[in-house]
Amino acid sequence: MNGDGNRNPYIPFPAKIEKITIENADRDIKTFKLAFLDEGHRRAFQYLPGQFAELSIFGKGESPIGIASSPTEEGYLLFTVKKVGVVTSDLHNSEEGRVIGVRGPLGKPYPVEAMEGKNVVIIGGGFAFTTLRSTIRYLLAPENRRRIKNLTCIYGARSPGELIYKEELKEWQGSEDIEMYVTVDKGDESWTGREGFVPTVLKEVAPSSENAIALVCGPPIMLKFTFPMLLGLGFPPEMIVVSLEMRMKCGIGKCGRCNIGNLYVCKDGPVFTYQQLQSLPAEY
Amino acid sequence: MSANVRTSEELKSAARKLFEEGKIDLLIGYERGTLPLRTTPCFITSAEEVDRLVWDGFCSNNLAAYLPHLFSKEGKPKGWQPPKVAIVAKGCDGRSIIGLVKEKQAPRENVIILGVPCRGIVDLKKVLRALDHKEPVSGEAAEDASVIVRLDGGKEIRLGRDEVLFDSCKDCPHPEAPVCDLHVRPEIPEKKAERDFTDVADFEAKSPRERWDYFVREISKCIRCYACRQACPNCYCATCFAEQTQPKWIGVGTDLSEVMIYHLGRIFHQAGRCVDCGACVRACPMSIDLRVFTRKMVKDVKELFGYEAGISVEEPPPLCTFKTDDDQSFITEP
Amino acid sequence: MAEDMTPRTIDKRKLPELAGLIIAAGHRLYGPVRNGGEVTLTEIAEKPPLDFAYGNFKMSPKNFFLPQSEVICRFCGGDMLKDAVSAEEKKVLLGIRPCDARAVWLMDKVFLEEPGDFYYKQKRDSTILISAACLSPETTCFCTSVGGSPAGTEGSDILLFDLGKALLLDPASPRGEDFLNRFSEMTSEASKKQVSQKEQLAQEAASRLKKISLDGVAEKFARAFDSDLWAAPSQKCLGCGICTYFCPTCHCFDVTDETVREKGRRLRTWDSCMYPLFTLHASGHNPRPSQKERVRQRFMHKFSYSVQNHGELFCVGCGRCIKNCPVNLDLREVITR
Repeated sequence: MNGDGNRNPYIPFPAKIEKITIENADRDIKTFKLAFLDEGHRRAFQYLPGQFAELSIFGKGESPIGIASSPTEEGYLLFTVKKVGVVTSDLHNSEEGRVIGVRGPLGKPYPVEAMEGKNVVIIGGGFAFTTLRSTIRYLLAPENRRRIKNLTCIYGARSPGELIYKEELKEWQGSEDIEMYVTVDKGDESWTGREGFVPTVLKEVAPSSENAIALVCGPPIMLKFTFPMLLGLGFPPEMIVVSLEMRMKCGIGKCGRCNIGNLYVCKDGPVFTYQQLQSLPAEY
Repeated sequence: MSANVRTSEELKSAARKLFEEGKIDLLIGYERGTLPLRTTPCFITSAEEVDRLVWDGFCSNNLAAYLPHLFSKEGKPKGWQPPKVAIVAKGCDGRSIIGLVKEKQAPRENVIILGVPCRGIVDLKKVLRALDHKEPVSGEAAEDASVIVRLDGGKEIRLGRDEVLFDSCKDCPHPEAPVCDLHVRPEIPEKKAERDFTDVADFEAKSPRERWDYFVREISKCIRCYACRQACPNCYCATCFAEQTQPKWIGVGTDLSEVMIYHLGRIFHQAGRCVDCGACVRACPMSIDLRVFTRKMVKDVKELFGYEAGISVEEPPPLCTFKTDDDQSFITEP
Repeated sequence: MAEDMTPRTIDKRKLPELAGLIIAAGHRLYGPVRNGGEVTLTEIAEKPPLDFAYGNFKMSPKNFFLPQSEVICRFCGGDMLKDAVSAEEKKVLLGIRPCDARAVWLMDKVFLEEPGDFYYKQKRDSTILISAACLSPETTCFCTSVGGSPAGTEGSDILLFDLGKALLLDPASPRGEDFLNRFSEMTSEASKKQVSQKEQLAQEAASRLKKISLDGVAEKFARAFDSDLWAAPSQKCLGCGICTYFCPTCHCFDVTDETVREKGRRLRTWDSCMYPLFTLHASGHNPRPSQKERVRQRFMHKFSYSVQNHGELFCVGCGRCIKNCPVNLDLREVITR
């Protein structure tokens, strides 16, 4: 995070859109590859998986988007954005070469130090998989992979067309360094893979909870069924980690909007342990 | 004073009876407030709570504002049935309720309108001005809306009806709700003559410059708190035009032109619906004279279409109907 | 802090001269101006009023530090314009009450916490706060129940007491002491008699306030999150936002972009947790769907979360929310219940 006490935290830094990739069949999820115009800004943007940034489009506003790239991917940032409102619609209408603003990195990352020497289980659903991609790429980097034990990932989407990062999913399914399970709620004629809801697949795969930490990111309905499943498999609440979404504006814990209980999702989160969530009011 | 007490007692026994006969789930009325000269809306659900109810010239809130939300299906669980609600209604409130019924925001069969005889509401801002902003310790309102106020130290001050009556009440022709299910005091007060719009005509006679300067002066006080909108029973849109982002009609800042459009837009959305209850003005913490606009709306609708809002359930709203003999002068001679 | 800084006095009749010097030194001076019974904090060009016997200002001085509407930056097309942030003028606020000064002190904990809010800090650094001790609190005041007092010094640079003929000026911060030193020819050291007079007045004022018991309110509220007790007060709440706008510590804001063709600005404006759109996600999901959750949020934030995060209640007992609420939803009643 920028430690410059005199810097104005509301001002974004300019970054150019170098590449736009359409991720899903409905064409409303796109991945934007961004590069800062200023070398100093690029160097100062030190982040870890799980953090997010406010993407700023002057005239429209800002949108908090999880960082999909891993810090091990140098020279650029990836953001996977779904078109839902004013800012994201405008972003989706961009062409490569456009300059937008980036404010960040913001929020607390996934607890990578806590993963040291442990088995890591990653569970993702739908379009919320973005920061988990960052985590997987980060953990697969050789210098990090050797510091954890087993790496398991269960990822599912509503339908084959809605799966994101399709190329990387294939790559990971063939890799020895990660046990990759991809599923869809309902397949189509060409789908030869697994079918089933993520919590169900989790039950089938039944990763061991011994010396393990689970990272979860998905829509509220998936979380609702995944938590009890993980607890049932023996994962203690402090070893279940989840990334939450909330309406945000300032991103730095001042505008008062994104709190759950006394914690701000932008500043104290978006990554929380299940143990923390249990002590907070159920308001999300 | 005694007339108000009689009305309160009649109201309580009517309410008790409704609960005992199982006719209602909820009753919305007024109870004593925590500050002198204030009442506050109360929601009671059983006969035991009925003694909380009061009625006097301090009962200013338009309770109809609570109805759209009570009956809206949004966010309610499956199998939810609309409640049976009794609501204490002055003349203006009763007309608001009928307006909401016409706009399908409240089913007529679920609402029991308890008409109370209203001689006018006390304008607390006028009382404070008359007391040179000294805090009253206690006070009562008589049936004609004159007040007796007591200050710290025991001094008692009487303020006449003319000094403290709320402006909308001055020429109100509806002391009781024109459509109601129960007259709390069956002896209905005499209906006054028609509304007198000379104040509007006087203002209209001023030059455009004078009128514009007045608008600017008043609207500049606005802090965009939206109390006027929230207090108004007719403003029940899930997302107000002033806050829409797709498309963004106006900004959210305090730019004079945007604030002006917010007010004019909101008031124009009231055309044919506004009952001139004054809830907006009473809610406004900055004492903006919103009635200069609303009164003109009410006058125009009356003159162009011969219509007054909320008098009858059957009469169709003028802005939703077209008659071949409709006055077109506002198009041909704006 | 105030013990080792000596209080000064000034004859009331010399206040206009002092005011003139302050203005001549480049500060914009704001003080209490009576406007037909109401007192507002208005800019004084010449003669300051000599009367500090009002209750409190209608609006809190929050606007001086977190304006209703403030430009974060300006842009043209996709580019931010340079010098989007302008320098702040030096100001002196004279006559605010200790509750409002305490509110500024509380807001400091949010806005000056890392990462510091640039705009707030600018204004804070360039404004001197001279509070006037409150000698006749109103019936809606309850500062002593929330950790404040009519002679409290938190947030103030100088605390002023109206002793009748003279004004006692008590420095309450290093900045306040500095300021007094700059105008030391206008003031003289306060006598022991004056100091004890001030103590007496402060005690009298504090004794007039009714105390509401707020022991352990933060934990009690936290435990009561799921209680049905929240339903009753929220039923009559109109969701109008007046309480949050008049509250000196409520600081929730919105950030929006406004454009005219390509040119535009990013604005920060007051927002309120009372509004349904406050927490509405783009997906349509709203974690606080009804007024009950929103009313609860306001109370939890002020009386529970703030204690957890900053160790203080975020209410200063000024009573503005009680006075201005159109439906007389009384904060004191909700707390005691």
